[in-house]
Amino acid sequence: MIPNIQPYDLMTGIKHWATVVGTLTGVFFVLAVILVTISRVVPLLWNALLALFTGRPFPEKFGERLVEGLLAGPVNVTKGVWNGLLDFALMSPRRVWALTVLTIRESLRRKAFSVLVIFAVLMMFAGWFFAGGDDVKVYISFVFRVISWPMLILVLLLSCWGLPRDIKDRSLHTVVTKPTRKSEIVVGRLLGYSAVTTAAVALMAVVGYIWIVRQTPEDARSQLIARVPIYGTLTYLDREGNFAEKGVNVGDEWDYRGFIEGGTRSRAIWEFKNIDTRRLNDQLVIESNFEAKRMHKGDIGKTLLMQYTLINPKSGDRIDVPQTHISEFGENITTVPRQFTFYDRDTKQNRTVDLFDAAIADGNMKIEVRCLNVGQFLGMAEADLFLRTPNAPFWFAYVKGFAGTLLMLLLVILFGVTASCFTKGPVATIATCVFVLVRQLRPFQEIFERILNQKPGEEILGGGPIEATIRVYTHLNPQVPMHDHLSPTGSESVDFLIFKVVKQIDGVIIEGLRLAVNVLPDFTQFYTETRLANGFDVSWDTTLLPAVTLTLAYIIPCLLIAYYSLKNRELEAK
Amino acid sequence: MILADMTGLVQDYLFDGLILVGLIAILVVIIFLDHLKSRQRKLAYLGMMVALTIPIIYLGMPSTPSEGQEGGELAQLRTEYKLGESTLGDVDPASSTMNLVLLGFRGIAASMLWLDAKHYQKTKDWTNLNETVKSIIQLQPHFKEVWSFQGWNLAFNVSVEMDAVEDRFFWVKEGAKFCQDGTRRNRDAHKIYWDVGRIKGFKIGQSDEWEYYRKFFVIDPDVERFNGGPDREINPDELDNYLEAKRWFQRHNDTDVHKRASVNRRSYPARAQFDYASTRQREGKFDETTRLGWEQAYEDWTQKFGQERFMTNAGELFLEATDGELEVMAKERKVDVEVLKNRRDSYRQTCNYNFWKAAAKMESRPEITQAHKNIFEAKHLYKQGKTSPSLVRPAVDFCSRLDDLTLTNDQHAIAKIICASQEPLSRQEIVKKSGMTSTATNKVIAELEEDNHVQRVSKAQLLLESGMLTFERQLQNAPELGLSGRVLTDDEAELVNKDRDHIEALLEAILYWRSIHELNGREIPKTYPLKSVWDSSQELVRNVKRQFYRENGMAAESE
Amino acid sequence: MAESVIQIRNLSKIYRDFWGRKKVRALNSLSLDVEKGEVFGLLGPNGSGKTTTLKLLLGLLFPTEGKITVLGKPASNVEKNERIGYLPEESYLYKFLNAEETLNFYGQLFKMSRVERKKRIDELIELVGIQHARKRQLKEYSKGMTRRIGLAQALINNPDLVMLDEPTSGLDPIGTREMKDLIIQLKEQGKTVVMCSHLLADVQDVCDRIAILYGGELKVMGEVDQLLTEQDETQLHTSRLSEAAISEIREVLARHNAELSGVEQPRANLEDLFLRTVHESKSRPGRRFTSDEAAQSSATTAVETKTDDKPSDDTPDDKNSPAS
Repeated sequence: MIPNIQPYDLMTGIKHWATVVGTLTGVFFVLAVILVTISRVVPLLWNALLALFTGRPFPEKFGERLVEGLLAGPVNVTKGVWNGLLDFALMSPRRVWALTVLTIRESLRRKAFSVLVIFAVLMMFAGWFFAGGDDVKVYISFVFRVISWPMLILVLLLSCWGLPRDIKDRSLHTVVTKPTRKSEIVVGRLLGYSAVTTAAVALMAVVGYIWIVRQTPEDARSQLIARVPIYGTLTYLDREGNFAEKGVNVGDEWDYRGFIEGGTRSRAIWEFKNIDTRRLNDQLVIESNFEAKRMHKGDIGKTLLMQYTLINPKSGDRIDVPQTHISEFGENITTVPRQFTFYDRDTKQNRTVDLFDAAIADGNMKIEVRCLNVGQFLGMAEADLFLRTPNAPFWFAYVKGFAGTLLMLLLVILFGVTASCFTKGPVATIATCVFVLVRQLRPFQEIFERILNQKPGEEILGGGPIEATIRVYTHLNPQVPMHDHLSPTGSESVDFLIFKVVKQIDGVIIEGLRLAVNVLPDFTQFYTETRLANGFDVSWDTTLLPAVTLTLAYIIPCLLIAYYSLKNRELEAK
Repeated sequence: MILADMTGLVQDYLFDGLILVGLIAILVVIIFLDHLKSRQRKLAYLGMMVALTIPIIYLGMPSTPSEGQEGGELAQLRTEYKLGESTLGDVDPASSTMNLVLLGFRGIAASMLWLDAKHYQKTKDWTNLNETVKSIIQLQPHFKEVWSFQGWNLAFNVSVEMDAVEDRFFWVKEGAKFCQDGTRRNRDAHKIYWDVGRIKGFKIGQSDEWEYYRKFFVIDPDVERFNGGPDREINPDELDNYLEAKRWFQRHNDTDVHKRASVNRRSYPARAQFDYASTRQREGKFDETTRLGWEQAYEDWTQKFGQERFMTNAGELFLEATDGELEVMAKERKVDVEVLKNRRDSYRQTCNYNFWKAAAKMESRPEITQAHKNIFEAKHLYKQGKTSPSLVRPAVDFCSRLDDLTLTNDQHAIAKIICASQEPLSRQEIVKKSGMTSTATNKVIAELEEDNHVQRVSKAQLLLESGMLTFERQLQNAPELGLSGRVLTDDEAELVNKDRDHIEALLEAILYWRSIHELNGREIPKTYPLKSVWDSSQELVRNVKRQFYRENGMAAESE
Repeated sequence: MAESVIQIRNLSKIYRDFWGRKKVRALNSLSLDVEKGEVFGLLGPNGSGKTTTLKLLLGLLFPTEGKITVLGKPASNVEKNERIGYLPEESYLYKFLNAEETLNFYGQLFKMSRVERKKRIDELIELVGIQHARKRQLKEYSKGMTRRIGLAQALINNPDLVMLDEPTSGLDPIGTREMKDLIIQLKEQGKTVVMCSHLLADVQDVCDRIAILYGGELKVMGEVDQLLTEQDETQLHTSRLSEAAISEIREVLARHNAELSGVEQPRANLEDLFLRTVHESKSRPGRRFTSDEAAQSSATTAVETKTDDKPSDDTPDDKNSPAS
C-alpha cells in the first residue's frame, strides 16, 4: 500500500464534515416540514375540492384548519428537533450507566462472545503451522487479520441484533415505560457494546503480541521495530538538469514512482523543513527504498550505484556522501556522523564539517540523489527517502495499531445500532455490511476513484450508468460521442435530444453517487497495521488522527438518526 | 475349483444378500408391527441395525493409507480409479478446511484473490503476491493452469523486476518450487512436471544471467542458509541444472501415460541432455565429461526417444524406424509404405530428428571436441590481444616441391628446418635451430614469405584453421546438418532445419579468423575451410558480426 | 371532586398495514377519566380494545386521533413515568438477569438513592415471595414466579399510578387472592390503579369504577356499586327459618306491596372454601373431607347477616391463622 505521509489536515476535515452534515440536516429538516404539511393540508384541500364539485358538505372551519395545517409543519418539526436536543442534553448518567451495564451483561451472558474469543485463539494455534519465514510483516498482518475478522462478525451480530431482539421480546417495552429517554437507550447500548469490544480486543491484542514475539525466529527479532521517520517533499531534475514535477515513467502501469536516469544531470531532490536536530541523535541516518530499473544488462553481478549529496538550502554548500550500491530488498541505511570528513570536488581536497551547521540552515536541508550507472534508471516516490530518528518502542506502536482496529469496530457498532433502530436484525446486518464493505472492495474502488477525481465540467469516460449500458449493448467505443454513431430514431435532432436527456439523467445519478461516496466511510483509513507491519511507527498526525476523526464524524449524525427512528417507532406495532 | 467359484459367488452376493435380508426384515416388522410388543420391536430393530452395519463397513469404510488400511470396497475403487482427493495428490488440511468454510463461494473467493494478485504484481508488492497466490492454490489446488501460469510468472516476470542477480535467482527458484508443489498436489498432471523442467533447464541455462544462475544452482548465494551448497529443495543431488531438468522432463514423460503430449514435448529429456553438453561447451569445458555428455545425448535421442512408440493416423510409429522396418509394418497393416514413410518423415521434421542425431554423433567424436577446444582457445587468445603472427609454417605444397625450387642456401636451410617440423615453429625456435643470428633468420624468413613459400601466422589463427578444417570434414560426412555447402537436394533441404546455433558458432569462428587476417594486414585467401558455409549464410553473418563487435568492445562497422 | 389522573378525549386508534390501508379500527372515539385514588377496571371481551387503550396510555402506541393526558402530561412524555408502574400481561423482562439484578436495573432508572433502592429491592422480594430464587436467572422461573417478579418491578418506584394488564389471568386461586389483596392494599395507600381484565369476578371484587368496552367503543361506565346493585330488590339475611316463619313473612311483605322472589340457603363463596381447604390441608395433612363434613362445616358459618356486597370482615385469612 502507498504509505500516507502527509499529516492530516484537521481544519479542512472539520470544515468538510460541517458542510456535509449541515447540508444533510438542512435537507432532512425541509423534507420533514414538507411531509408534515402535506399530510395535514392535502386531505383538507381534497375534501374541499370534493365539496365544491360533488356537493358534499364543505369541511368545517376550513380557513382555521388550513392555517393550522400550514403552520403545523414548521412548528411541529421544530418542536421535535428541540425536544430531541433536550432529550440528549438531559440524559441522566445514572440511567445511561444502568443501560450500559445491562448491555454488557447481555453480551457476556449470551455466550457469543466467548465462542469467538475461543475461535480467535484457535486460529492462532493454526498459525503455528506457518512455514517459519523471516518476514515479520507476515506475522503482524496475520495477527491483525485473525483478530479483526472474528471481532467484526461479533460486533455485527451484537450491534445489529441487540435492539431488534429487545423489541421483539418486548423487554424494551418495560424499559420504555420507565422514565427512560430514547437517547439514553441508544447511548447505553452504544457504550455497552463499545466496552465489551474494547475489552475483547485488548485481551486478544495481548495474546497476539506474545504470539508474534514467540513466533519470530531469533535472528529476525530485530525486525520488530517501529521506525520514526522524518519525511521531506520530493522534486526532480530532468536529464538536462531542469526542474521537473515528476520523474520519468519507465513503462510501469503503476506510476507511484518517478525515475531518474543514471549518468545524466537527472536528480531527485528531497527538501526537509523544520528539522528538530535534537531528535537526530548527533548523526544523520538516511534510509531509502528505491527501485532499480535496468534498461540494459549492465554489470549483472553488481546492483546499481547511487550517491547522496547534502545541500544547505541557504548557502548552497554541497556535501557528498560516499556512493553506495542499492539493495532493493535489504536495508539501505547510510549513517553520516555529525563530524564528517568528505572529498570536496570543488576544492579537490578533504574537508571536515559539522553536519548540523553545514548542511542544515534554520532547520531546512536538501538531499539530492543521483544514479551513477549510465543508461540505468532509479525510481523513487516521496516516501522512499527519510531521516531516521531513534525508534519508538515496538509495543507502543503495536498498541496504536490496535487503536485503529478498535476505532473501526466502534464505527461498525455505531452503524449497527443506528440501523437496528429502524429495521429488523437481518436488514440491519446487511445495511451495515454494505456500509463497511463498499469502499473497500477493489471493483468499487475504481469507480469511486473516478467519480471523486472527476474535475468540474469534465465528463467521465464511458459516461454514467445509462450511457454505459447503451455503449455496452451497441459495442460503442467510449472515446466517441454517442450521437455520431448511433441513430435510434432516424431523426438527427430527436436523437440528439434523447442523448442529451440520457446524459442529464446520468449526471443526476452520478451526483447521487458522489454524495453517497462522500457519506460512506473509507474503511481503509483504519488499516493502521500496514505501517506497523512495514516496520514503522504508527504516528498520530498521519495515521491515527484520520482514523479517529473518521469515527468521531459519524457519532452525531448516527445518534440523531438512531434517536429519531426509535422515538417515532411504534414499539408495539406488529 | 468349484469351491473357489462358490466362495467367489458367495462373496459377491453375500453382502448384497445381507442387505436384502435386512430390508425384508424391516418389511416384516412393519407388517406385523402391531402384533409385536415394544420390547420385541426394539430387539428386531437392533438386529437389523447390526445386520446392516456389516455391508456398510465393507462398502463404505474410508481408507487410511498412512495406516495401510485399504478401506472398504468403495474406497478401494476410489483409489484404483484415482477419484478421491487423497489419490490426486497430497492433501492439505488447511486447503480442505478453507473450502468447506467458504460454503460454496470458492469461485468468487478465488476470483477476488486473482484480482488482488494482479494488484500486488502491479504495485510490486512481492511478499503479498506470493501469499495471495498461495491462498489461491489452497482454494483450487487442482486447477492445473494456475500452477503452470504462476510458476512461469514468478520465474520469468517477477524475477526480472529485481536488480540484484541473487534476488532474481531467488524468484526463479520460487517459480520452480511453486511448480514442484503443484506436482505433489496433482500427481497425474504431467504438464506441471514439464514446467518445472522448463524453469530449471531453460530459464537457468539460457537467460542473460545464465552464468550466475548455473553457478547458483549448485552453490546457492544464500551461504548462511545452505552452507555453500545448493538449495536442496530444487537441487537435491547437486546436479547440473540441465541434468536436474532432464529428470523432470523424464517424469513428465513417465506421468504422461496416455501419451497425450506431443512428440516434440516428449523429446525434452533428450534435449536437456543436449543442452547439458552444449552449455558446458559454452562455458569452455571441452573435456571428456562433455564428450561423454554428447554420447549420452546420442543414446538418449536414438535409443530412448527414437524408440518411443506413438500413435499416428497411419498406425503406431517410432522415429528411429528404418525404411526396411517400415516396409514390414506396411505389409502387416496392409497399408501403403509410402504413407508410413511420409508420416515418419513429417514427425521427424517437427522435432528436427535427423539433425540432432547427426549433431550428437558428430559432437561425440573426440576430434570434434578437440576442434571446439581449439576454437575456444583461439578466441581467448584473440580477446587477450595475442594475435600477432609469431609462428612460421610452410605454404601448402612448399615442402613437397622444396627440391624443385631455387633457393639460397640460407633459405634452403631455414626451409628445411621449417619443413622438418610437424608444427609451425616460432621465430626464436628457428633461430635456435638454424644457428644463425636472429636478424639473418628473420631476413630469410621475410624473403621466403614474400615469395609465398611460407606464411607467418598467429597461434590463434592456426587453432581456428585446424578447428574449421575438422568441422568441414565432419560436415561433409553429415549432410543432415545442412552445412556441407554442397547443394542439397530439395528433399534434403526440406528436411533440414538449419540449426542457427551451430551455424553461428562456425560463422563466429570464421569471423575471428578473418579478423586476425585483417589485424595482421593480410588478405583473406580465396579458399578456406567452411567457405561454403560463410557464403550461404550471409544473413546470419550480420548477427554474428554484431555479437562479435559487442563482445570485443569494438564500435560496429557501418555496413 | 378528585383530580383526574388520566384523561382520555376522543381517542381513536386505527391499525394500518404496510401500504397504509386501514386494517383494524381498534378504538373509536373513546373518552373517559380516571380519578385519583380509585381502582378503575377496563372490561371487555377479547379484541375490544382494552389492551390497546392501556398501551396508548403508556406511550407504546401512538393515537390516530384524540388526546391523552396522564398525570397532567401527554402520553409521550417520559418524565411522568417516574410515578407510574406497569405490569404487563406477560412479563417482558430480561431473561439473562436474576431477580436482584432485574430490580436493581429498573430501580436505577428511577430517581432513588442507592440505599433506598436496596431497601426497596429487599422489601419487594419479600413482598412477592421469591426470596428463594433471588439469585437465579429469570429464564429458569416458572410462570407464577415471573408474574411476581414482574409485579415487583412494577412497584419498585412506589408509583402513584399502577397499570395492570390482566393481573389475575393464569393465576391459581391463591395467587389470585394475593393479587386482589395487593390491589386493595395499594388503594389503601392512596394509589390509583387501572386494570384491564376479562375475569369478571375478580374485577367485581376490587374495582371502584369500571368501563366496559366492546368493538373499540365505550358501552358502559360507572361505579360498580351503582351498576351492579339491583335497584328493585332488597336482600335480607336471617338465621335459619322454619316454613311457618317463611309463610308469615310472605304475608308481611304482601301487606307492604312487595313480593317474595326467592327463599333459599345462601351459598358461601367457592373461593373461600377453596382457600380454607388448602390452608387446612397444609396444617393437617392426610385428612380428607367427605361431602357431609364439608356441608356441615359450611352450614355453621353460612348464616350471616349481609346487607351489602362488600367482602365480609371475616375474609379467608392468610396462611397463618387457623380456621375457626
